[in-house]
Order: sequence, then structure tokens, then C-alpha cells
Amino acid sequence: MMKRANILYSLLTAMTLTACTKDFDEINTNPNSPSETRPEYHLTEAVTQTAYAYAENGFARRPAALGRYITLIRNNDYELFRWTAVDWSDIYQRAMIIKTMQQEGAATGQPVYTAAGNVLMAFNIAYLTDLYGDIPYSQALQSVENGNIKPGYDKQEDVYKSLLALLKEANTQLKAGGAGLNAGADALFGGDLLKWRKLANSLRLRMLLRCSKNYASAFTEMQEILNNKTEYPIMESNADNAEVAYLGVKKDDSWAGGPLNMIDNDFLKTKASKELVDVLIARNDPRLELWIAPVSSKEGATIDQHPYVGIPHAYTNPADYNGGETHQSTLSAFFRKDKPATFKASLMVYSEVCFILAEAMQRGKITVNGSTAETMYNNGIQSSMAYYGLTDEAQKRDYYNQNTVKYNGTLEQLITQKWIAMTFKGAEGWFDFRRTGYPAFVVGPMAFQPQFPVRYAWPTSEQDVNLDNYKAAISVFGADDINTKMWYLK
Amino acid sequence: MVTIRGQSSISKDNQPLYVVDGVPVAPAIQNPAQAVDGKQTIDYGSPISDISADDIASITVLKGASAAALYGSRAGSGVILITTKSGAAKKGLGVSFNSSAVFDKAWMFPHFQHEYGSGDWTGSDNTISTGAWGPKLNTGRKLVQWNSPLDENGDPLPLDWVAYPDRVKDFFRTGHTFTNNIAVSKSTDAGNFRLSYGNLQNRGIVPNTDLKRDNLTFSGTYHLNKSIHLSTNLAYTNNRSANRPSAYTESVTMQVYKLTPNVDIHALRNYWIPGKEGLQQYNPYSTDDNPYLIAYEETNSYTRNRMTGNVQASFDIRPDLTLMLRTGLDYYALNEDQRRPFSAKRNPKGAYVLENDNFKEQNSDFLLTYKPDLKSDFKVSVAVGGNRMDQESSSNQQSTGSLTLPGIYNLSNAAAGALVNTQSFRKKRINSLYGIGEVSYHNYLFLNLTARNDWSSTLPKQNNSYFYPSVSLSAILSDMLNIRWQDLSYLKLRANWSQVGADTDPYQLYNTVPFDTDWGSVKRATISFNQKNSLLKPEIATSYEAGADASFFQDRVGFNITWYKTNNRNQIIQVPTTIASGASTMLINAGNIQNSGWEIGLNLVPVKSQSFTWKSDINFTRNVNKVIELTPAVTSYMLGSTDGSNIEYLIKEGTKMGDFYTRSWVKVKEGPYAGQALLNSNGLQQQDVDFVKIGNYNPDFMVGFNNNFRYKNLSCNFLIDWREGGAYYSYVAKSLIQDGRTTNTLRGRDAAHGGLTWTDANGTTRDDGMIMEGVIANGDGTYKPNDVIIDAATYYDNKYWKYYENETYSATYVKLKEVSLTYAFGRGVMQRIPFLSNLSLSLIGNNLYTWAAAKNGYDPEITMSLSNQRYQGVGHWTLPGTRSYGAKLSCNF
Repeated sequence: MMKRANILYSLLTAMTLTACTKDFDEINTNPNSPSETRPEYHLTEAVTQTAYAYAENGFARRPAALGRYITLIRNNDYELFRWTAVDWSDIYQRAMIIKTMQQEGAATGQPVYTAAGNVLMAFNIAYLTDLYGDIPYSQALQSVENGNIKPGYDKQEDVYKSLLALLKEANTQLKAGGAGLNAGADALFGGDLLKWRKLANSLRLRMLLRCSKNYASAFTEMQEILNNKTEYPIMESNADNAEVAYLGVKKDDSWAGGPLNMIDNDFLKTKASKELVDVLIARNDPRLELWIAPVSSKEGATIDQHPYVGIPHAYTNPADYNGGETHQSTLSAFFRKDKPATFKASLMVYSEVCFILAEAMQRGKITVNGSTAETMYNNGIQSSMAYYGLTDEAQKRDYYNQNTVKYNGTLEQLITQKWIAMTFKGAEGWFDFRRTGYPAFVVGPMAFQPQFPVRYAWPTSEQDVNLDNYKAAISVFGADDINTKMWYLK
Repeated sequence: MVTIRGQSSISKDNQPLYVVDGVPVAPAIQNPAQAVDGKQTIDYGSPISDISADDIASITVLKGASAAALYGSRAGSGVILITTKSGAAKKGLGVSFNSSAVFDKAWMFPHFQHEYGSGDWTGSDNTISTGAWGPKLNTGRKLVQWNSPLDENGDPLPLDWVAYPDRVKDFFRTGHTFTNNIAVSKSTDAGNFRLSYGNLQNRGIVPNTDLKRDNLTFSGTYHLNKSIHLSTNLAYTNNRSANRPSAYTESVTMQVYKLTPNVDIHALRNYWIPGKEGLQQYNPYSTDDNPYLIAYEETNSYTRNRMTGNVQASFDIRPDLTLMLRTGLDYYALNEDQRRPFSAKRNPKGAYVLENDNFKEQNSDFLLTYKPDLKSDFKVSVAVGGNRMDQESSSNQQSTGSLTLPGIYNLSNAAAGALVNTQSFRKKRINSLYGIGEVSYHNYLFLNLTARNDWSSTLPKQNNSYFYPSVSLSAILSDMLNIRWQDLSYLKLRANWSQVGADTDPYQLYNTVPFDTDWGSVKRATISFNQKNSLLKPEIATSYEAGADASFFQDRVGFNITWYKTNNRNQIIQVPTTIASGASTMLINAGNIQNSGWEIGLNLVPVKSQSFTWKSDINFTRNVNKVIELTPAVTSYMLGSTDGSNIEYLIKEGTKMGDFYTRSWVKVKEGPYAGQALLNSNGLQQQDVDFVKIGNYNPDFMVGFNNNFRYKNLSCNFLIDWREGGAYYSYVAKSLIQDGRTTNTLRGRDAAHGGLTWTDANGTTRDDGMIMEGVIANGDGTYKPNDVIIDAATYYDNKYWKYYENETYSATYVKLKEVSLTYAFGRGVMQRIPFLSNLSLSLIGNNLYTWAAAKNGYDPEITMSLSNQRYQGVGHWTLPGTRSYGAKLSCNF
């Protein structure tokens, strides 16, 4: 039978059809998008995606709940520590976009895109390892170039060292300049390479402090930066903040708490955390009235008669707390805008740099010419007040001379002020708590475990698509659960 | 959605090819469109529904791959051959008229509770809540609620705390469908034609929804001379709706089902706040849109204009040689228009989307058929044909997620900078040559050989040509061996082996760089994380089939049986890779999915007499799917996921397509409590990390049972469908339990319902205590039975919200699908009306009764029908089960 079929086949092919397939290449050429583009298109993409996603994480996701800024009273898995892996994909996707941009920059003779790309890459990968611990890095993002679809995991220690070197290199590359970044496409700094360098070096300070417990040369390297401001410029005022403005036009260019991105009900169920509200009230902090909405009615409140009532975490029937939702504080109208006034999506702000330096100085590990831990601590608070336009109000309330605020040299006081200043500015609140134990957050009564999680578990999909490396990672890192301490926390 | 002989393709839709009058038409499946709010979906109907039932002469289902030589790769999942009516049927002039009216009534609802109103628990202060865990209703109390008027101090006044048990039923109205069709045909020696006009008017059960259709068709044949015949079929359809009901999350069904029992649906009918018409809706809870606002203001309208047609010439070159030339075209333009008013939940500033889709497929064929008269016991026929298929489609969408002024649905009213354009074009061509040969001996032994070679534009140059043959052998044993038993009148055995090759979608070889939306006035580009492959090879499926057909007792008993097995190899699939590699999927050739099964038919005529006949047909089908091989690259492949990736449709080597997996709760592994839930110290279930299989959405078998009784001029027909086995997960059931809306959440709510007395964290003594089933660890490796009292709402939340196997139900059902009673007026009556020939009147009923094994108020068939084509088995917010009744009048002039 097959022989017959073969005869038929040769008969058919004899009637050649070569002429009929000559248009196939043209027919199958994708008319919808080009095969290559320019690096500036990917720069805008990488910068806006990174900043907006990082800000959204810090406002509405696990880092915000564990950082004790918000309390969710519905679908409160974050509160209960019923956690699943998130952000893994987004971050690698951004990293791949950055890598593509760097390749396009190299191909068109614009090394400045490689330099800026290194800063963005370090920022994203550092955030990833801060969330997960060990991660694929040295073998990552190679599917296109060499077909490696099963990258092995690197130890966090190696990732950190590598990223610190990358940022140092980026500082040098940016100093060399070359053809400048497209100013219009640079949503962070409008093409100002000095500000890119300040971000690179300030990020190094953030990372060095974070890993200082287990990285012996952390403070030496910090000191090296601080000793040479020309070679290693760092952020010196709010003008140096690494931030992307919200446009407030479409969902994807608007603040996560605005009506375009969050329906009314979700905003209403996102209450202010009791831990944040109580600290702000205790200090008569002017940021309270700006950030937090007063309760709609004090009458009938069963527990707390204050006009501002934060909600404790992981409670039974949290919507009934204090006699119902009319006696609970949501976030204020300031955060209910698609484009909040003076509030931007920050990768890093000057205030954080101040607190980093204050802490390192307080511990006697570094010195900064002309500064003390106290001046840096005060700078940190003042630059946060200035950020929100509250400089005068803070003076009027004599904020800085209160017992609780006036510098007393304790880590608790310092981290508490840093924590307030970092409200909705990324995941620093949670990361500092993880590192220092301050402020002393409380586990809610309904939480699924009595201790605070210290990481995300790796995505379960890794067991399907990268199992051998996943198993190898566990043997090095330890159990893949939310309580395993990563290298710099050990 | 029709799946013949099981799912065999991992990446394709497994849908049969529709062939109308010899020409393939647009894909029958159109995935429901995602609405602008990103939540609801809209079903614009499958293009196949553009054909009016009154224009169809016959429908034949080709289950196997045997037709692939003729119709190409797409016939690999079976073919549905539709032949439309022509004028040839009857000599002379004929006019026929059909008219029907069918009414639809919703009747199958989830089992809602009407005992407790809005609130978080029975003693709740918060009685304006989407949860229905609140105080007991109908106790004569007055409580503040969603529509409380304010007193002079601005405080809300308490209102009667009563239940509205008809709140859901009262929302849906009686729908109807009126269909009218008139056709004129004439047949002469020179040729024939048929002209027909059909009109359909539908009013949906959801207020303000409809569907309208107009069909014009022409078919004609003209014999130019004895050997040249020209024919054509042309059809134009205008299919349109001012508003289609949406489905899924935040659809009208969800908002009606989620009303708490103390909400009077009639109070929502005026859906604007007085004085704020067009700006602010009036809704019970800020969480949800008013269902009437969805029905009247969140409209999804569309128009589909469709032309199908072919022209054909056949030449009888010699008595034994004919040549057929034909080109057929299917073209449609679909215009969709979605509106969202100001204050809509997802679009506080309104939204507007305009989309135009165009689809064109042209098939041009030749077929040369040679049937020599060998003047022997052998007969031979050989045919050689060729086909070129060109497919072109485009889609152009403009949308804005916020408007400047309310109520003006025009793109120029988009908020500045908020207009987004998306556009895509697709093109594909397949050239084919094929041959069909048939040899028969004595009209009882038949051998069929086919072969086809395709050249597809979608595959890389070196692999773009692929060949697929088939062989069939059949023998009518009763004739061959001259079996003439008293009881056996016919016996045929048949066997078939065939292969079908297949290509892929356009543009799968090289990655391109897609643009993202603009950031203000700055251009952005993203990248594609799905890595394409320039070394793809064609897919290949191999099938075996064997069967027998027999009839006994002068054809009073007919029996047929078929066994088949299909292996679909080398499938072009996107295998998942870790995103850490820079790509989340990679396109490769992989896999071997096997389907095998049995099809058995029994055709009985239990009673046959002059005045009374009973015919009964029973069809049984069983398909067994098996994943023989996947790819070394991955251990499991996710076809898709639902409910926030908490349910995954995974395939692994050795398992079956259709399996779905979820995370269960942590259980005690060994000892006296082995298998019991291991609770945390708060007495709550804890989620396990691993995904475990909880069901498969495919049935074990299906049975169709059709009966026809005829007594003189009266005939009665009924069809029963029985589906056995399979499971579905109900998102609806989960959501309704979560908010205490159904009767299965009553237990434990107060002492009368078995609630325990306990004291909550605020120091309040309550009687809604429950204890989760399971044990708590003592910390030394031993366990004790759980004795922690939690409130009822927490109990149900913990038991159901994250534990999807608790809302996974049997999909077994038995359904009375169709019942009809037809009276054909007899000759006596007809003679008195001279111009009328046939006149019949039918009473019809569809889906009159469904028995579902799960007995939970959901119709598994409806529930599962709107799911994505590749994985089914999710019960979502679809319209309730509906019964239809009506009448049909047919006559010929």
C-alpha cells in the first residue's frame, strides 16, 4: 500500500509547485512589529515599568502589609502570611528588556545605554534577591543568545558582590559619558548622567548597609564612596531623587491608588495600619493628616475614639473592628489620585540616603566630612517633610524638639523615623524590620504563623521547568519556605 | 463548542472544520471577547451561527481523519459538512414558508438563602455589606440598610429587615426568538435556483439584550449544455445586537446573584442617583455595579456582515472524465462597540472601545475525476485535485479608559492622551495537491487510497512541504459471502489508516519587537517573552480505525460500532521555560497525545405498522485520552490556569488532558489521625504547597437517546442527552459561599442552626461558633482533635475560599434536550386549500429538564460551555439554565 502511495507521491511532486511557494517569505513576514528598534524605546519602557511596579509593590502588596503601612480588611492573605510567589516574572522580564536595550545600545555605538542599563539591572536584580535570597543570575537571561533555558541559582552573597561591582562599573562608565542618553526618553533624569551616577552610588550604600552584617568590607567600601565625592557622587538633596512622575492619563501611567488602577471598594478596604497611625499620632506628625483620612464618625466607636484610627493586623472580622468601618481610617484623598500632587514613583530618595549614613555613623563604622549621625538623622526627617511640603507645618508643631523625635542615638528611634519616611516608597520598611527588628511590629492573632516571613518562596513553576537547579538551590540555601533566612540576615 | 473524538492538540482548538457546500468556512470558534473593564467577557457568537437553519438541507459529521485528503489539515479534528438547500429538490416552482416562535424562561438557579441579610455576622453593626452573614431577616426588626433614608441630622433611618426571595428570578425576563423564512425555488431541465430570505429576532432573558439576523441566500445551477454545468451558492448575513449580555466576573449574572437577601431588586431599577443621571449610579454597595446599570448602560453591541459564496464549473470532458473548477470565499467584517458609563466600577470616568475585525478566506480548487468503465467486476475511480487557501485577517481597535464628558460615545471624547490604538494583520497561504483512488470489486469490496501534499507559508522553507496519505478497506460481508440469514440483512466491516499533517499560525519563526503604549508622548517598545523557532517542522497525526455496520430483522434493528486510535505527534507547542532564562515560553515540536475510543450506535424500530411507528436511536461514545510523551524539556505542561492560577490545567506524561490541579490543605501524614486536616493553632486549615489532581473535565462517556413516535399525521420526537463523568470547578459556588449567599452556608450561624456559644476578640458573646474538622499539633509529634471555636463566616471562608476541591462537582447530567409534537395536515385538509401543499404545525420544547448529579443549581453544560476552547471545566458567571417552549409552522405553496 505504501508503495502505491509513494508512486502517487512522486507523481504529485512531479507537478512542481516551486513557483507557488516563492511568495511564502513575504506572506510570513510579520507586518505588525519590527525585528529591531532603538535603545531609547526600551529605556523608557524599563524605567517606567521598574519605577511604577516598585511603587505599586510598596503601596498595595505584601511589602506594604508587612511593612505595617496598610491593613487589608478583605482578602487579607497578606496579613495572614498566606503568601505565594509574586514579582519573580515581572522582575526578570524587566531585566530582559534592560538587557535588550544594552545590546541595542552596543550595536548602535551608544555605550551610555549599557551604563544606565547596568544601574537599572542592579536595581531590579537586587530587589529580586532581597525578596527571594538565592536566584538565577550569572546564567540568567541567556535563552536567546545561547539557548540556556535552565539557569542555575547563584548564592545571594555572589549576586550581591556581583551587583555591587556592576554599580561601581556603571559609575565609571557613566563618568566616561559618550553619546548621551536621549533626554526625552530618560523618564528618570532627563538625560542627566550625574544623577544616574548619584543613583548608582546611593544604591551601593543601600546594598552595603543591607548586607553589612555578613559582608566584611561593607563599611570600608562605603567609606571609599564617602571619601571621594567627585569620583563617587551620591544623592545630596531631594532634587537628586530617582523618581518617575505619574501622568495620570492611562492605567499604566497612573498611581496604583488612583481610580484608574484601584476600584473604590479596594481602596476602601485598604485601611491605614494601626502601627503606622499610632506612631504618627504619638509624634503629632503632620504627615498623619496628609496621608490618613479621619474616621467618618467617632460616635459609636467601641475601642478607639480618636479621629484617626488605624486597624490592627490579621484580626477576626476586621471590618467590625472599633464598631465597623465608619470608625476606621482609610488612606487619605492624597493617595486617591491618578497623579498625586508631589508624589512620584521612587526607586530611591535622598531621605533614605540620610538614614543609611546616619545609621552607619551611629554605629561608628564610617565618618562623613562635616556630618554626624544626628545631622544626617535630622536631614532624613526634614527631607521627607520637604518632599510632602510640610516643612513649615513641622516647624510650627515644633516637631523636631519632641522627646520622641529629638535624636537620642538609639537604632530604634532612627529606624522608626526611616520607616515613616519610607512609607509607600518601596520595600525598605519590611527589609529594615527584617534586618534590625525595628519598629517592633506585632503579628496579628489570626496569622498563619507566629513569626514574620523573611522572604518569598520560589515560584512553584520552577519545579516544573527548572527542577534540577531548584533542588540544587534548596540544598545550598535551605528549605524553600517563607521563613528561611537569606545570607545577609543570618 | 464541539469536540469530536477528544482533545488531541495541545495548542490548537480541537474544533472540527465546517465545510459549507464543499468550501471550508471561517473557524467556528470565536473566543469570547474581553470587555474593556478587563473582567467581563462577551460572546459575539460563532460565525457558523450566521447560517439559518431553514437554509440547511443536511448536516453530516465526519468523525475521523478520512476527509483530510479533500479538506486538508483542519479536517484532522473531524468535519461538519453542511449542505444548503437547492432548487433541485422539486420540479417546478415552489415556495416554502417557515415561522417559529420560541420563548425562554430562566429556571435553574443556585440555591440562595433568604434567612440572613447583609452584614459580617449575625450580631453585626455593619449591615451595609456585601456579605450575607448579617442578622436574621423577617424577625420584625428595623435596621439601617443600603437604602436607608437620612433624617434631619443626616443619620440613616432603620428600615424593615425583610427578605426578598424573588430578587434573582425577578431580574430575568421571558426571552423570545421569532424566526421567519421564505424561500422560492424553481427547477427546470436547464437548471434550478433557490432564493431565500430569513429573519430572526431575539430578545434575551437579560433586560435590554437582543440579537437580530437577516439572511439572504441564492443558490443556482445552470446546465450550459450537456457537459458544462455552472453553479453557485451565495449568502449574505447581517448579524447584529444592540447589546449582548456579558459573562464572567462582574457580569450582570454575578451582580444579581450577589445581591444580599435584604435587597429588593425593583428598588434598583432606576439606576441613577436622582439629579446625577449619567454621572453617578445608584447601587447597594460601592463594591458592585447596579445590575440594571450593566444591562442598560454597559452595552456591548456588534454587527457582523458576512458574505459567503462559491462559483463552480464542472466539465464532463468525456463520459468517464470530469473536471471541476471552483473558488469559494468567506468574508466577514465584525464591528464591536463597547460602552461604559461614568461611575462604572472599573471605569469611573467611563470607557469606550471600537473594534473592527475583518476575516477573509479564499479556497480555489480543481478536481479531475476519471471513472473508466473497465467492463469487469472491478471498478476504478481516480481523482487528482489541487487547492490554494489564502487567509487574511485584520483587527483594528481604538479604546479609551476614560472619557471627557459623560454619555458621549465618540473617540474624540476620549480624555486627552488616553486613546490607545492596537492593530494587527495576519496572512497565511497553503497550496495543496491531492489524489484519491478507489477500487471496488463486485460492489462488495472497496479499497480507497488518498494522498495529499501541503505547502504552508507558516513553516520554514526547508520544512514547509508535508505529505499525508490514507488507506481504507471495507467489505460488505453479507454480499461477499452471500450470507442470507433470516435475521441478518446487511453486514459490513471497515478499516482505515490515515495521517494528517498540520502547519501552525503565521509569524511563528522569528521574534519581533512589539511597541508598548506610549508614555505620554514618548515611544516605548517592549519585547516578546515567547521565543519563536525558525526550525519548526509540521505536526503529524496518525489514526487507525476499524468498525462494523449491521442490520437485522428487515432493518428493524441496526447496529454500528467503531474503534479508533489517534496519535498526534510533533505538535507545535509553546513549552514553558523559566522566565529567569529571559523567555517564559519556547516554541518547539513535541508531544504525543493519544485518543482512543468506541462509538456504538443502535437504531431500532420497535413498532412499525400502517398507523403507528416508533423509532429509537441510541448513540454511545467513549473517548480515552492519554499523554504518551511530552518533551524532555518539561515535566509538566500547563495548558492554562484559572481563578488566579489556583487551578492549573496540567498535562504530564502518562496523565490525561483535561486533568486539573490545585493546592489542597495540609493533612496528617501518619498515625491514628492520618488523612485528617492538620490545622494551625488558630484551628484553621493550612494550604499545602503542592498541586494535586482534583478532577478531569472530560466525560467518561456520552449517550444520546432519540425517539420518534408517529401516529397517523401526528409525530412526537424527543431527545435525551446523558453525560457521565467528568468534573467541573465552580467559581460561582465558591463566591456565593464566601459571602454566605447560598443555603449550604446556613449551618452554625446561630444556635438554631447548631452554632456554638463563644466569645470573640472584642469580648462579645456570640452563638455562631463552629469548629473546623481536623486536628492540632501538640508540638511533640502528637495531635489532638481541634477544639478552637471560630465564627461561621471564618469557618466557611477557611473551608472553601482557597480549597477548590470543595467546590469541584460532578459534571454528570441527564437532559431532556428536545421535545416536539408535530401535526402534518392530511390530504383531506390540503385539498380544501388549493395553493397549499404541505402544512405542518409543531409544538417544541428545548432543555425542558436537566438532572445534574451535583444537585447544586448549576447546569454543567451551560456552566462549562463558555470556557476557553483549550481547557474547559470552569463554572463561571453564566446565565442561568433556561427552558424554551414554542411553536413552528411550515408550509409549501
